[in-house]
Amino acid sequence: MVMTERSAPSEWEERPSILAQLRAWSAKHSLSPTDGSPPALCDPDEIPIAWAQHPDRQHRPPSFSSRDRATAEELAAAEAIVTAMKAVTAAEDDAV
Amino acid sequence: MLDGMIARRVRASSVRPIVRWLLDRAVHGEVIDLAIFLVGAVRYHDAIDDLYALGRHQAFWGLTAWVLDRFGEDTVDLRWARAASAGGIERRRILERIAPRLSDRSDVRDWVLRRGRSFDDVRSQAGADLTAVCAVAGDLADVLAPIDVGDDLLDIACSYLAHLLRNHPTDGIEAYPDGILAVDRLIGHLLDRCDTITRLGCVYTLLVWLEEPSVVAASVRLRRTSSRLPAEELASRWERRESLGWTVEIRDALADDGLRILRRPAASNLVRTTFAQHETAGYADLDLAWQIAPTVVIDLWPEAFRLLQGSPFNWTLFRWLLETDDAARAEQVIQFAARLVPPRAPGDTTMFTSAPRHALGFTAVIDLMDAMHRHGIYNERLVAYGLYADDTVVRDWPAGVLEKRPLDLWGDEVIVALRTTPASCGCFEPTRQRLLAMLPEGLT
Repeated sequence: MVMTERSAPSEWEERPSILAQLRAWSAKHSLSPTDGSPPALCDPDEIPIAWAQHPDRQHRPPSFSSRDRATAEELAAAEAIVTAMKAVTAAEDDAV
Repeated sequence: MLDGMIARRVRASSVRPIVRWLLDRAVHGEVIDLAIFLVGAVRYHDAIDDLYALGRHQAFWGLTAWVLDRFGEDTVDLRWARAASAGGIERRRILERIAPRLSDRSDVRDWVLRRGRSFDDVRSQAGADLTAVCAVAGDLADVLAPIDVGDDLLDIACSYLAHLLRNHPTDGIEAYPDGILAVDRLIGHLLDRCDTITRLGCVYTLLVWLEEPSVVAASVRLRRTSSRLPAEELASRWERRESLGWTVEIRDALADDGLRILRRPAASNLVRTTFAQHETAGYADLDLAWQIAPTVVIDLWPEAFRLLQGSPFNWTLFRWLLETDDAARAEQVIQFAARLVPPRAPGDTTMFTSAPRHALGFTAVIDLMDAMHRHGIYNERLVAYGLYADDTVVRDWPAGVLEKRPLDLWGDEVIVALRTTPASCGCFEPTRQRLLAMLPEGLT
């Protein structure tokens, strides 16, 4: 195996993890506001997300991800995965 | 990837530490996506709180909510958050999904009813299916159950049901499963509380939807609209609605209540006072008053004609005034319009566009030509003016008027316009050919 020297961390890698940032954000923005208004979602402009598969952009535009995932095909595919997973795991305790 | 894990009989317990590591370290979107998916795949219950945090980001809420649903977690708030920022189809899909889970969420139901639809949704035909979904998710029929429902909710209900009753053929009220119950309860309230033009408009819209003969007969607009509907649609619509529960008995009872409201002196007063406030009232209210007036036997035409004289290029007034069976009145409007059009200077071939300043626009020209066609009235100046419209559809209308009239009665202004305009306008070729064909060889 050829060992290579690790490159210098990118700007993104020096940031806190996404989870840490969102925990801090969630602490300030309740999921159950008491004034009857809907809870907020964090905008990508507020906490930008780096997407490795989109190196030409630091983060996708706000509507990109959710629109991607809203398709019926994707939901159907996900349901199929879960069904297959359940079929396997039903016979064997704690297998994936 | 999952297939590979299953094939290798990878144990969930061995994957969970890796998922933990990914969650705690990831700074890229794809890695978080993978981690969220794996949390579900290996049933990592200890990471549920982390999913709630990740789901607060626009980029991850969808996958996160999906995984949390598989854990049996309550994702209504996450989906509500997304619905509040999403528009159109995405909002409708989210509300459809959470609607069955809102029985103990009066806060969400209330928000859905009051804020679930945007200004544009309420006014568009395409927004009708979102209105139907909001009516279900917000449980509109239940809101109308108390005898003392508040004025604000009563107005919201009027807005919902008027929107649903305006849309045809199969969306709108037919897409709202509790439509009959909601309409019945609303009319019950309005029997005592129909004290605004919007509420009266809702009653009128119901009667129009029910195709109440006396209402349709009184309205030029409705008679013309229904005459344009395909015969198959007319024949099948009530059969379809009957199957949804809109039986003859229910329709008759609703129509009786609606007519009872409309025939009261209070209804006539509302129509009259609304139209009298034309300087401050909005177009929607004025148009409601205009539409309802014939049913409550009020003649607003003289008042509208007086308004036109003070605001001569108002296409809405032209449209209203030309909605008449009275040929003498139509001619009065046509003569008035003709006086607004100056004669053309020799050689002037300037075309006019949709909204000319201080001149008749496309909409007024179409309505005027339509009235000439219906009432057999001819005005040379206006027909010539219509031929100078820089729009194919508009120019078809004067052509239609001319085709019904002998050539020797067209008049010189029309002949000049026909000679000049077909070549100079960049219009649809069939229209250009139609116009060219109208002029005999000797006159070209």
